[in-house]
Amino acid sequence: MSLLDVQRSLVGFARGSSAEYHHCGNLTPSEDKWLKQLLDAPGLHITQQVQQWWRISRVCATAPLTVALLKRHGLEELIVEYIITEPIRTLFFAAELDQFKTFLRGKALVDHTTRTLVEFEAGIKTAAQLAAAGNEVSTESFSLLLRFQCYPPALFAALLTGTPLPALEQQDYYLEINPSLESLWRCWDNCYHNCRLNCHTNCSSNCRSDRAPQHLQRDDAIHTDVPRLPSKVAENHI
Amino acid sequence: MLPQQSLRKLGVGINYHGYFHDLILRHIDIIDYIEVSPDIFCEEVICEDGNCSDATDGYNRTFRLNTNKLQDALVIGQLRPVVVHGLSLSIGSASGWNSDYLNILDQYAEQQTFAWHSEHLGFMLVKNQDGSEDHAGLILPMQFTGEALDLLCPRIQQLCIRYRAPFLIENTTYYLPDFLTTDHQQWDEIEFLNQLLTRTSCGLLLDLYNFYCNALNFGFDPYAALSRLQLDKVIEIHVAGGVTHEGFLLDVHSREVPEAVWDLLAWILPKLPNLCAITYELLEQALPVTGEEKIVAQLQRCKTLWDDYLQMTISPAQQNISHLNKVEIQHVAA
Ligand SMILES: [Fe+2]
Repeated sequence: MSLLDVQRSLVGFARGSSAEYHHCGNLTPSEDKWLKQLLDAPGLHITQQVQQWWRISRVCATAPLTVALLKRHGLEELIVEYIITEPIRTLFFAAELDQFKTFLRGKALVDHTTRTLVEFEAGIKTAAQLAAAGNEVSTESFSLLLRFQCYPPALFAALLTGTPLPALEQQDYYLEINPSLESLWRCWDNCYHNCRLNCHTNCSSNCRSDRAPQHLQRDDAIHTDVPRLPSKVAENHI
Repeated sequence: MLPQQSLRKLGVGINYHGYFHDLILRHIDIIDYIEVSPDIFCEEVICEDGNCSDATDGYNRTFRLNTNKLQDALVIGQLRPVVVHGLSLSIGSASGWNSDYLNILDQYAEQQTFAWHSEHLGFMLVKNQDGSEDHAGLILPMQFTGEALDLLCPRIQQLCIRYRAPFLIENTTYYLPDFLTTDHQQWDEIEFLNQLLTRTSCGLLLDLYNFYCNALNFGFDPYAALSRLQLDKVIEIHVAGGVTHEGFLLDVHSREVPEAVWDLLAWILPKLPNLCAITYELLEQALPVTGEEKIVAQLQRCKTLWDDYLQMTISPAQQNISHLNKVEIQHVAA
């Protein structure tokens, strides 16, 4: 076994995966014995736990609201499954969030609110980084509109304070993420959505489908006084 | 730069973190230097030509030193000398080290001078056959083989000349079983460290707590093992404390230094002719748990041992120089 093969095995084992052992071809009997011993070693179990603590704290720092909602739904095991099955491909938080988002999207147990929330956290990260990049990178092309089934700030507040989650409503709430906004996001009521749909079919020069229509600018938006994200969340995203 | 080139005796220090900033300023009289990990000032940014485009939002990203985050550390850097302790170079990765860390250190070196820099002996990342990377998330041990030595020596030599400051390698804690039972292991940890110290120009950052963890977890005598180490290459010592979990003493830097480590420190100090610094390492999250009083007590205990060490090992003339350096720094601070 080359040093590289040993290291690939150790990284996989540390994540809790033994697939790397099965991929090791041409092992000598002593190498085979050593790898098997390693897989049974109490020290490997400790290594895996240390790795999990590190990775969980990383996922919590990256997507604190989503993690909190998964916990409320009793779905902690999805976080563990994510850590074991999805290696860290880069140390970039945006890539971790993206990977987590894709993972959750593929899980039937994950509800619409959780999926939307992870989209929100990923979107805020990108918007914050674009805003920080200033003139270096164009922010024109980035804008997201997310549909929630409850009033988003009430959901965020409940998750951050540990209070009961707001009930889902018949009404849809729309949240826009845009790096040009001072707080990076704002909420709209469902009339924005109606207008937005209208824009697709009947677009006027001053109304883009991916941005707030002119006649629904700040004054008409509901809750234009929505505060910035609580600093704890904002810091994690910047 | 070689560590043998007369390094100044710094004294007792603590690892820097933003959470420790006020504490360090309050107790600057007993803190002779700070140990800084530039990794903690790193930020992820979107840019035109970044090296990461993995996220589906389509933007390129790179890591950069955040100068705002750095400001507080620079303030203390005006008052006290700085040494650098890297966290994420992954010096032992067979598929290539983490060059992002070196970019961060280059940027840091433009803003802050440091007496030396150091990194852990181990690896954290591997490249897969498809070119993607896997990160372990913690420092994993090297195999103590000729192949590992051949990989590490040229990298260490590169680091020795890259900055106008010496480079030290640090021994780490590991929980994986002894590799000596395999055909692949040629040396034990001490022999391997001696090989590195002989074949390169680096010095040793001897983490006594890490070493004590390994001795306890794998049942060997730390005194007998340390007696075989090239002690004249030790430039800096780390002390720390942690917790026991499932029968393993963990390297978490969350507690006070265990008595057994204080004993090791007292025993080894007279044997270290070139020691320049003793650092008490503490995890930032441990501050509210450990409390300021206990942290200060740890630093004071280091200081007492350091003063005894100075009395034993250096001439009165050198002690005066060391004292003058400090007066000079305090004068600048005032
Ligand atoms: Fe250390």
